[in-house]
Amino acid sequence: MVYTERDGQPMINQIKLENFGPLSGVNWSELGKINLIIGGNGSGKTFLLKAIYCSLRTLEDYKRGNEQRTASEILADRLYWTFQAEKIGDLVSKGADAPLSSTLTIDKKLFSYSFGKDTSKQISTLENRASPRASNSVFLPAKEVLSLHQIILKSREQDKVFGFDDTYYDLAKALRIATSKGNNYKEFVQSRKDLEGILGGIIEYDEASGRWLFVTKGRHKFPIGVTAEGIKKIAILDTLLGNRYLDVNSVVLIDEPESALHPTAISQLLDIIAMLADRGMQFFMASHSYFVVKKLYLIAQERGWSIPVISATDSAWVCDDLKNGMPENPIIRESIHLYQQEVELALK
Amino acid sequence: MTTQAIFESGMTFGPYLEGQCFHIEKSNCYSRVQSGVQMAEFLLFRQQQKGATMWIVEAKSSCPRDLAAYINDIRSKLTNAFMLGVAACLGRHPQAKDELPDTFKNLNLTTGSFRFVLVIKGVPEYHLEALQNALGVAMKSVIKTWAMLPTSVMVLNEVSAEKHGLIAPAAGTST
Repeated sequence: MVYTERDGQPMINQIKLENFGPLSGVNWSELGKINLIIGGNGSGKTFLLKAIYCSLRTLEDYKRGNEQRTASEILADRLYWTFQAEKIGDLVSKGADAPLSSTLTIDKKLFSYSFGKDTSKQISTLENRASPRASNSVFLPAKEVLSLHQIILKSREQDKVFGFDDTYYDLAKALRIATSKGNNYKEFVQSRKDLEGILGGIIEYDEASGRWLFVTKGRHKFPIGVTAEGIKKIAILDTLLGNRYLDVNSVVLIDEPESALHPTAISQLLDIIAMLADRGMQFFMASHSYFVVKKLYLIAQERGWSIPVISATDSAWVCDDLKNGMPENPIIRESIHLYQQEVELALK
Repeated sequence: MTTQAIFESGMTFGPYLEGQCFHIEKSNCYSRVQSGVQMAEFLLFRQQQKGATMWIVEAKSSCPRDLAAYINDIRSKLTNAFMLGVAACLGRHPQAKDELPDTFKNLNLTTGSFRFVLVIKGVPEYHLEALQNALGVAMKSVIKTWAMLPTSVMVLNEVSAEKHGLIAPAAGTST
């Protein structure tokens, strides 16, 4: 196993959220290289990923290059453009008496903030002991962005309107970076080979037309619009590894990795993710797929890894670890329920 | 030398190498505690990649109609066989002194592994996963309290049981 300078420790160690939109009482500690969020529709899985993303990206923008804004100013912008509420105070849980608060422990150092429901721009309390981050983190939304690449950029850069939030906009910008030739981490090279094996080709940006093309192994070119959704999703990760936007200290947040992917491709993608996590990257995934939970459970068993999982239940967020077994949750119960339904159908 | 084959639920288990199988359901130590104690079929010693392992095996000839009752019944049999087997290994049952093979007596209960194996004849492969999930949930307290691997519960049909050397190939089939 190859360790980074962090000696194999994941970057984000703990997440605590109170009165953050639909999220309250979230206290997720002892995080791993790969972390899983499960829960039904509307339980706040994507919200949780976005909350993590805002803190991370604040630390990544802060003091980068000639950036002059304070961490508080960057964070306020991040929250505004990621959640796209009229004012950021609207993010405080409805009916909550206390302010919204978020604490992220990153590289064992604290980044926390809180603000009340009347807040429009100025974040009242922010404590930052974490170091600015040189690496880039990325949020891969459930839907692919390649077909809408130019529309996203225009909407945000020229029109400056709500519609595509920061997770889409950042990704669209990251994809604009040209793929580099030459030395890359060997695990990244292998991952790209494996990803391209699933895809049966690569995607290329055509400067002349300003459009993405899917290029098969035989160099046949197809417009991205006629390419399968799942292919576009995998191609995005391939591109970000190829253009060096991601490095071994990146955190990757993936919303519904299963969407538009065949179960075989889900398994292959998760094997690639495990390879990248082994090299140092940290992953957070929100899912309601049985295949994702089961495959990650098997990765935890095979590699002896802790894969923390947080599940949204009716009353609280419950923490578990796939290393200790499949979690008891509606996804697993439904697999049993479907079996029962089939038996009843066959025997009645 | 091999043990005698065990005929259960329309399947032929074994024969296994001498000393590697303990037919616990027909044992003297079980006959002493039988009343009110349901029992799985037999215990099997396997040298696996991760070391010495005791398999606790239960066989069934049909799929469940009432899943909850079915799983509870299997859980009870597997748990009882595990506890009786460990008690026999520890020498708590004098009857086991002569009948329990040395392989089991010498099993290191601190480091040894355990597998709970349910074999159901004729169950389609696509059903196995859901049954394994259901049995896994039912066995979770034993798995956790004994610090066993989460992968310690298996549900097989006769095809996969044959593939794993648990049951004899059906007549006329090649191995």
